[in-house]
Order: sequence, then structure tokens, then C-alpha cells
Amino acid sequence: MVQGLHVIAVVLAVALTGCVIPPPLNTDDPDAAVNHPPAFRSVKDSAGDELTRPGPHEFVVGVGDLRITVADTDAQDTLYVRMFIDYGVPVPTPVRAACEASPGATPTVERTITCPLLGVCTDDLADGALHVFEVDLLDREPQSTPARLYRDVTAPGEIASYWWNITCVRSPS
Amino acid sequence: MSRRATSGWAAAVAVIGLGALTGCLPAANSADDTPQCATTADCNATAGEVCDVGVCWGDPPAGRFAAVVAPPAGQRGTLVKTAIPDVTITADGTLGGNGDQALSLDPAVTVAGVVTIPCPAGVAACAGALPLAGQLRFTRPAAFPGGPRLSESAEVAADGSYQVALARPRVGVTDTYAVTFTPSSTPLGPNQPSPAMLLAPVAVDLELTRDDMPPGGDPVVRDLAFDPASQKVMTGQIVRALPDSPVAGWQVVAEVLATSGLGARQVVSTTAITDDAGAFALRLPNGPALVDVLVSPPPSASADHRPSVRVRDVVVGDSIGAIDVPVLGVPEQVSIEVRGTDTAGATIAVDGATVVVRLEHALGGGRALSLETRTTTVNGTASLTLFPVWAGNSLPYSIDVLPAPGSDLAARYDTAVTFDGSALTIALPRRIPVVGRVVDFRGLPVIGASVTAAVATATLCTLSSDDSRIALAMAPAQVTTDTKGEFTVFVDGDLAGTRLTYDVTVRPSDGDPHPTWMFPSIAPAADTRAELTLPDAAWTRGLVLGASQGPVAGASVSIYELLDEAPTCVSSLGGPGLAVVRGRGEADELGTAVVVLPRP
Repeated sequence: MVQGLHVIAVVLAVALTGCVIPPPLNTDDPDAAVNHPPAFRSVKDSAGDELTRPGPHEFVVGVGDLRITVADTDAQDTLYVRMFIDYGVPVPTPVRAACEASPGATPTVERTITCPLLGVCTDDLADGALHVFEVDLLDREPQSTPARLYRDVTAPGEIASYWWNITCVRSPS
Repeated sequence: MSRRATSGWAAAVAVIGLGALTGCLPAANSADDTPQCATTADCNATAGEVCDVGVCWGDPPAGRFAAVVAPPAGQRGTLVKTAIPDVTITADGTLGGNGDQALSLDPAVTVAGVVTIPCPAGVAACAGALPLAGQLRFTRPAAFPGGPRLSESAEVAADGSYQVALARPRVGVTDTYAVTFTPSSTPLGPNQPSPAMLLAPVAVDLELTRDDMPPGGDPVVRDLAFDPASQKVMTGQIVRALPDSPVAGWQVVAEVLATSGLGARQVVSTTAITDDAGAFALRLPNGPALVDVLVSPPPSASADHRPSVRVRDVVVGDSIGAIDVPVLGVPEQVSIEVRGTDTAGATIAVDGATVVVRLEHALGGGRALSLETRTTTVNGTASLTLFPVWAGNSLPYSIDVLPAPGSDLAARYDTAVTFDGSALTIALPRRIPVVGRVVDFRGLPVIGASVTAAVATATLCTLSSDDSRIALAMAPAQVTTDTKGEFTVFVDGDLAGTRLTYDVTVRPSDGDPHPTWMFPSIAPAADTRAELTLPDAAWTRGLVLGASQGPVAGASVSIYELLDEAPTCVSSLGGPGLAVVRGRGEADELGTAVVVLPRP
């Protein structure tokens, strides 16, 4: 049970997520320096339910996590996830929760990131109203710039965003 | 795959594993890796391990296990989330449940209907019954101690119609759901009330048996006809000291504590709007005997952050009487400067920090001025319009400042302030590091694992209700381990004077063969280093089957370990008992989910 842990990783990465496509490594290839954008594959809640869009979905204050499966052909990229509520409604608001996934010992094109939802819903949002929940996926650490507060990314960084309607509810007694 | 499992699936799993290996390019650094095993003789065969696709499967940890299996989104109409309270794991690592060598999802049945109330007075174009929009939630009790209560939600449209997929009852079994309906706060039309003004949130039980199932797969019809007249009515009136102070348009609701330990409140009444005389009538369901009544200013006053008046511990009866709402005068613009220090010790303005301003000021007679509002610092400054003074005295506010997740700066909580016109500056301390290294059971570094530090459950349970709410709103800090398995994560050292400890969860990166593990109650300190040793792992796999669909690709499997420990103040939210998620997996194209379980 103690040998070949790396190959197990490869076996599982392949069997569970599909083929591993290595990034272009030849510097003569004009595409070699291109940064490929990350992409969402699926977003599921703690119970394994896919967060279908546009919702609405219920988030319980103070509990739960999201399992976000993402893909980036640049397997060596660290991927950053940032979550926002009601950004720009009416004003830009800071990130509510953040997580990231580094390439790991055996970089794979697809990765599943577990992101706690603590901090996303708070009691003041448990008001019965629909809220706009956004998740940014970036392959560079996001910056706050005057052009886009709290969620900008500088070239060659790329970003993908999804949004849902959610309601925040308090824990049942 | 177990020899006891269906041999066809076993062969198929092996084929896909080998096919995937031979049909795809290998990962860049895999050339010199060797398989864990070539034959079962390479594994711990005496413990039951078997070799398949280069992996030793089996030798599972001791313990009692349960599972929650969820179908992929595309099959939610035909299959439903299923809790399996008695998961078996054979020596060769095969997961099963309910006596099968597979994890079976319950088939779904569609339940549909219409939500109505009798036509209320004053609502135009209503004949017989009025459909109400809102949200329905169907919840089943936890299937195992400490497990989650599985629930399904359904939006109720403006015409009152809803549709939801629930588990098809087994023969001879009555499934009981707790159904809650929360009416919508969107008005029925121009100058019309909202459903939330006509009906208080209501809870009923819904029973389903196999006898209820219509032939041919048609939906089970369950119309939900609620009657506001069956709910209690409590009247009252707000009064104000100055004759020309407006009393119309104030919003009144009744609340109860939803979770006594954590201080969260839940609206249990209709939303009443005061008339020109300040009068209101609340409807409440039978049940709550003691409520808080919250009187909030009209929406036109909300921009001024005008506080509400909370009347505590009102005995539910026919009338609450008069509620004196104080006249606060003219609001003032106030500014809060937020400062921190950078790594060189220089003072910096903190941008993007959330500033939470609270007021809870007793007025006598069980009344209190109550406010909780938040804003964000821009150029290091938070600006709000507040009421600094009442009856000649400065009102005592408290402020929390929460830097953005990932900031080097720590939050400041419960800073008591008054706004007397002088500049107000809040300085944030720097966060404290949790420094450590993650290694596996052989002492080798675990590279690229995510390390998440969340306020420890043990600490949460020692905090006051209000502080627990704050702690639960704190986004956990997360970093990943470097090539030596080392990490540094910065966290807050205290919460309003209470030292914080952290539960640190290590999640190996995708494809990493180590298990997820949580290290409880680690105290942050700059001069100590945590050596986090992950336990050994056992490889298990289970075939996920739909009732008549065969293997279910894309199904999610969560394996829980059932513990004899007493539930904590947080874990008890899910029900009695304690169950901890030990591993998760997703079924591949052949319906096989691989779950790595820690074997401490």
C-alpha cells in the first residue's frame, strides 16, 4: 500500500476526470506562451447537488461548501475562486469567500476545489429576498483596480464567471 | 471490484481504467512512476486488499459508516438524493448499502399542486381562491444520527403552481415530509399586498405512500390550501411623541430565535404595514408563544440607516398595545477611518474592508433601538448616515471591521463608539500565522494540498450567541502547501477578546492519493510550527445504481463515519448524533465512484 502513490494519482486523475492533456511545451510553437482560460465544469453543493443555473438555490448561513470542478489546460496554473454577493447591486462589494487550488504534485487539467461557504451568506442577507451569487474563477491572483473593484485580473490572466440567484436562510432549529 | 459484485461491472471498470491509461497521454512527470501493485500479492492481501488497475483496494478502516448519494442534475427528475444509513465496506473495498453490493439511488415521483388561500378582502380579481407565490421546502428527518436532513425546494409561481421530485415511497412505508411555505414578498400587483402580507410562513406535514402513486408515472397532486383565518391575529399600533412624525408605512414582523445557541432569528408572522393611524395586524401560526416584534422604518427612511424598534418577549395574544417609536431627529453623515500596518510597519489606509455598524440600545419597557448595517471602505474610509443622539444622549454603537479574505490584517470586533463629531479611526492588528508542514503517514511531504483554517468548533461553542454569529460569518483562510509540504496561513488571533483556535482541514489536490483530514483546535502562534500528519488511506469504490436506469454516471457520493462522541453546538444543527464526512467521490461513466477513506 505504500508504493507508487504517484502512479495512483495518475490512474485516478485519468479514470475520474478524463484524459490528461499536457500544455504546449515547445517554445518554437507560437501558442506555447498563450495562457489558456480556466473553465467551470460543474459546481455542486455539500450534498452533491449540482447548482443548476439560474436557480434560485438556498444557502444556509454559516454552513456548507461548494465542490467546484474546473479545467485549465495550463495545468501548472494555480486557480483562484472568489465569491461575491450582490456585486454592483447597487455598488461593488468585496469578496465574501475565497479559495484556491494549486497544481499539486501531479498537475491535472481538471481539478475539484472544495470551497467553504462560510462568509457568503450572513444573517443580514437572510431576508427572504433573492440575491445574486457570483463565482469568479481566475488563473492569476485577482486585483482590485478602479476599473473593476476587488475582481480584476491583469494580462495574461484569464477569468471565468458564473452567477446564480440564491436565497440565504438561517439554520433550522 | 469485489468478486461479490456484479462481474460485468467489475470487468467494465477494469476496462475503462486500462483504456484510459492506454488511450491518453501520460501526465508529464509520470514516466518513472511505478504502479502500486501488479498483482494482489503486492498488496496487503491478508487484510483483504486486491490489486486492480495498479491500485490496492480495500482494507477499510474500522467504524460505522453511512452515505448520502446525489444524482447528477440531468437525472434529478427521476432520481433523488438518497441517504443510506448502513453502508458496508467489504475487505476488498467495495461499498454497499441496504444489503446490496451497490449504492442505490431512490427513484423519484413528481409531486405537483397549487398553493392557495381563500380570497382576502381588498384583493382585486380574485374568484374563490387566491394563488400565492413563494417557496416550498420539503424536508425529511436525518436518516442516520448526525446526518443531514435531506430537503428539496420548489419555487411556487405567481399562479400558485409548484412541482418537486421526491422519493417514491417503498411498499408499506409512509414517508413523512415537513413542508414549509414561505410566501413571497413581491406584491401581487400595483398597489396590491404581497403574499407575505396575507399569510404567515406555515408548516405542515405531507405523507406519501405507495398507494398514492397514480399509474403511468403521472404526478401526485397535492394542492396546499392554507387559510389565514386559522392563524392568530395580533393587533397593535405605533405611536410617536411628535404629532407630525409619520406613523404610516412602518413594517412590522414577529421573530423567534431559530437556533438558540447561535442567536439567529426567523420571521414567523406576516409582514404588516402600519396604516395612517399607525395601526397594524400581524398573523402568526399556532405554535410560538413568545416572540420579538420588530418595527422597521418605511423603505424611504432606510437610506438614513434609521434604527428599528425591537420589542422583546411579547406574549402572543390578541393585542400588543401601543409601541412607542422614538423620534430621533435629523441624521448625520459619519465617517470611520480604517487603518492598518504593512509588513514594514507603515500605516496604510485599508480599502475593501466591510464595516458592520450595530446599535442595540434599551429604551425601557422591553423596547430597544436596533440596527445592523454594513458598508465598505473606499480609500480607507467608511461613510454612513446615522442618528448619533437620542434624548440628548449619544447613542452607543458598536463596530466590526472585517478585512477582505486573504488580507494580512485581522478583523476588529465590538469596538464601542459614539459619534460626537470627532474623527473616528479604527486600527486593525495584523493577522497571526499558523505555520506548519503537511506530511503523510510515512513522513513524506504532501504537495499542493489546500489547507483551510476555520474557527474551531470548540471555540464556537464557547462564544456568545452574537459572537458565534460573527464567527460563522468569517470566511475561512486558505492556502496551499508548497513543494516541501509547508504552509503559512494567516488568521485572526481573537474575537472581541476571546482567543480563537482553528480547525485546520487538509484536502489533497485532485489525483493525490492521500485522504482529507481535519486537525482540530490549533492555536495560531508565530513561534510554533504545526506538523500535520495525514493518516494512511484506504481505497474504496462503489457502484451507483438508479432504480431501473442501471449505473448512474456523475452521481456524487459522500461517506460519513458515525461517531459515538456527543454532538457539538454546531454539529447538532443537523440533528442528534455526530456524523463526519470522511470521503467523497463522483461516479465515472460506468457509475463507479472511488472514495479515499482515512485509515488512522
